[in-house]
Amino acid sequence: MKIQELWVEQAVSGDLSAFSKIYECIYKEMYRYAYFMLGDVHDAEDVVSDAVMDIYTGLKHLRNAAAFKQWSFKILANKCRRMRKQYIRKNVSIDDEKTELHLSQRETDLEQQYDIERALGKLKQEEREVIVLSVIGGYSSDEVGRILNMKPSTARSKLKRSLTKIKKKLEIR
Amino acid sequence: MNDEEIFDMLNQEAQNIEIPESVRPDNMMQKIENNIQNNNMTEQKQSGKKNSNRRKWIYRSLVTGGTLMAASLGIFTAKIVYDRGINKENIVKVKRFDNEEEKSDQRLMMAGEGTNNVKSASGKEEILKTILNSSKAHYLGSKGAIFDEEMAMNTADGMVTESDSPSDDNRISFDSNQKGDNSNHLTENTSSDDGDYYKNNDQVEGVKEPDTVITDGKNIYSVYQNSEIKVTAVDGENMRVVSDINLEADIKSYFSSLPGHSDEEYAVSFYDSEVYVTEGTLISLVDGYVYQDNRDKEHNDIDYDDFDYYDYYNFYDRGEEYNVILQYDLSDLDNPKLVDVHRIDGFMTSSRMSGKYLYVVTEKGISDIVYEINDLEDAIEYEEELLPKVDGEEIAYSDVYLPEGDTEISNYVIITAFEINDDGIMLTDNSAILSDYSELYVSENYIYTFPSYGNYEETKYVNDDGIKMVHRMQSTKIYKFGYSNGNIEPSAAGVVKGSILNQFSLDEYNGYLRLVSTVTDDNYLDYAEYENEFKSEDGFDDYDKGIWELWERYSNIEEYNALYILDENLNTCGKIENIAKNERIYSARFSGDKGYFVTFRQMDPLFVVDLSDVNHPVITGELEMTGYSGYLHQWSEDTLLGIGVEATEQGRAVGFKIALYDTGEDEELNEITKLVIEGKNSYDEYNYKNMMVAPEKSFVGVNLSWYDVDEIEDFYEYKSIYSLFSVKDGAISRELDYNYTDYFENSDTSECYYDSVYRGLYIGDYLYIVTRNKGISAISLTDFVVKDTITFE
Repeated sequence: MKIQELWVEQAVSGDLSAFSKIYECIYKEMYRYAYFMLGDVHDAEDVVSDAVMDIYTGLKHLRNAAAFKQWSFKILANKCRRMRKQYIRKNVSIDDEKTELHLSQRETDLEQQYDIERALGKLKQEEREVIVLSVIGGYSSDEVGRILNMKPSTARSKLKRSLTKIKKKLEIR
Repeated sequence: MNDEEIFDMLNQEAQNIEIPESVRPDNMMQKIENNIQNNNMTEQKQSGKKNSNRRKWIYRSLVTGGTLMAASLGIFTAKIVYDRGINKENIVKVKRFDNEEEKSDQRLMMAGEGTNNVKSASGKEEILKTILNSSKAHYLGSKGAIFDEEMAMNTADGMVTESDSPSDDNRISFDSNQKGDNSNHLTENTSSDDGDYYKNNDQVEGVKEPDTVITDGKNIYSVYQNSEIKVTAVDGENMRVVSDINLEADIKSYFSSLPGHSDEEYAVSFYDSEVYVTEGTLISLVDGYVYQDNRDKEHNDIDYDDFDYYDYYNFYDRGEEYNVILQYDLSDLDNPKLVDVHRIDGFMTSSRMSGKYLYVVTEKGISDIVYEINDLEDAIEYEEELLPKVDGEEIAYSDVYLPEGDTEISNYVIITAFEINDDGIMLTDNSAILSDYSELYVSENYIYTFPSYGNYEETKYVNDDGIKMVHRMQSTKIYKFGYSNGNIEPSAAGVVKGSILNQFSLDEYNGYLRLVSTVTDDNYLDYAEYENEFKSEDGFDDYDKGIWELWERYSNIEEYNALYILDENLNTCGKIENIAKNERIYSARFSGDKGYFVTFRQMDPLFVVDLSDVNHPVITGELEMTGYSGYLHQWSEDTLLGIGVEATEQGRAVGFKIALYDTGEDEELNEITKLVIEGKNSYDEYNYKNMMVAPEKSFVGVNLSWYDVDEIEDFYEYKSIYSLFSVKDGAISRELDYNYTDYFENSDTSECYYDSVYRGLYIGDYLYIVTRNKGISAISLTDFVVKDTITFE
């Protein structure tokens, strides 16, 4: 579902139903991104909630409707970063036992799920961000670059490196 | 498995993630609606507050009328109680956490002797409440005009005046003690860089400080008009500008590229630019003002000199101040590439670089907002502006440190750490502390911040004659943060009496912090208590009724100096107080087990302190002499260099002085030699980076300036030169005077109304003098002849 620029303009002037339409286009991606970054359902919910509030109240600062998606993901990415920093303070390892939540309720290959999550957990924050934005957000390296404040070539190389790392982790078994 | 397959696998997993109810659109919209309603309700409450705002305005204007009524309202509570006339320790109790939970929730900085309790905020409300309390205390502060005048008369600054005698140089040198090779290197040399070039005299080796002119031994990087950086390749007398980094263009396009800003044209002005150069990377820190250039074409021919302030703001969009870090890749020197731009909040205080980590300290003032808030609801309304931010985001509450008790503070000191990699700048950590405008001292492992002017405490008391008095005392709170690999960790908080001059007044050695301070002990009449007695019938001060007599009889201000040694928790473990009464510290330097400092009023004692026993520091030498040193440098193991001012015995300035002192163990402290240049000043003592102090080459270079009187034409011309001195074998000689007007066409001295026009540095056997915004001259250090000059375009 593509965000219509008209909706953004309407939302800027306070039209909540227009905002709702926009949100419908991105909420799943947002949640998945948060979940992959944090590994915890409740934290991901909180972070998405916070981000959406900020996005809604901050809409008046957005002058280029076309940049809405990148802009909101940037807000979300930063919220996730803050949350992760607090994990470090509380000495919670991101690949702790308790963060190994089931990725889905379905009877699919649980082992593979487990592996992937552990593999992701071993990535450095930025690498993880790049991978999650690319895979889940479906962003191009250009777009990833803008969200994470890096050159597109950097985003590409980080993506490549992260995929290689994950591959290594999965192949070790 | 190839990349694509992994990608698909990840994607598949993502699709399998269940989305919780709370995040679904209908629930989320409900949340937003609830939020909007809540905000509306608080707005209604706000309108009832208008009247109290007006009352507050009246209150404030009375205070600014110069009375001490705030003091008489007893709003503040003093933390330090003094028995008049006797020095007392701080007696505030340490706050101890009785339960483990409290301790783990709030990170407590180790408090030094219980006098400076700081803890991290538990949430936003706590921050706002602390600010609210400080706003009440904020109405105290400066005393009436009377005292300020008195202060001005009594401080030594008022004593040193400009001399206007344009006589020739007057070299005074004592019989030098031939002590052998005085040009030894500093004993501690941990730098791994052995290049034969000037390394910019950082206070602590290994902790780089930013600068406006830097060399790596092959190139000179200099800031040009704050908006560009010139890269000049040098080889002996050959110089060539190889590239020009256009900061202005890069900053403009950065602002234009921000989300929502792509089409706007930005205009940028500059306050300051500084650089670091390290292993193929150049980091530039720039601050200034950015605004959208909305010039209407019809108004292009307006005469801007006719514009008044109001018109200016109507004409341009109001802009904002900015602080940015720009990273450039220097692997191809002819084409430096912009790698990254990062914006930081607040005003720049300073920064340091260690390896690939950059630590930036900025200030965010909130005093104008503090005046507007009455209660917590007000504070919440202004919370956007009151809470410290980095990158537009609020700093995590556990990273914000609040002092306990009443404070007058309306300013944040924000420390931000960045990692500089080949692909860009990454923010790694940050901390904020509610503290006054601060200065920095950074050692190899710790960042210390301290308010430049100290913190004032006022206590009321009644003296022996029954007169109501106020005792005002300064103290300085010091905050210590550990830093390493881009992480910032709060470590300790302490407090000492007095105010600290600058970064050289502190030094960390073996985990102990040594410092010197000047304490102003001020006792004055509690004017407000007597106000009504001494007013005439129409309500004005009646000066004939004797209040001034009372004031003069009882008010008394004393200055003295102190040396403190603090342990790693910033507890005082050793000290010497009451040093050099009624003088203040003009310079200090610490070197291993020794400390040196200069106090001055009419005469200048140079003190040497033995710091080897941290519990019992001892003054081992005191040398009284005319004038003072504003900057001290451990020239060799046994000699100390002083740069400052020569004065008469009555304290009248004579001119510039550079002197060498013998500080060896077996010798008594004495002055080996000095050189005085009458009639000329150097402001470099206030900004030590502008001097070239190179004991390894036996050279010192300084900016000198003076007013030249042309008696025939009857005008004063401001002149500025760069003088090079050699300090060798116990003698100081003036080798070179360089005046840029001799080497650059179309230049006149009206351009040199800066404190420092010149920066000198050596590479091998050449001295390069960079004249601000003009160019570079290459001078041979063997014959001191200018070999060549290039002009910047």
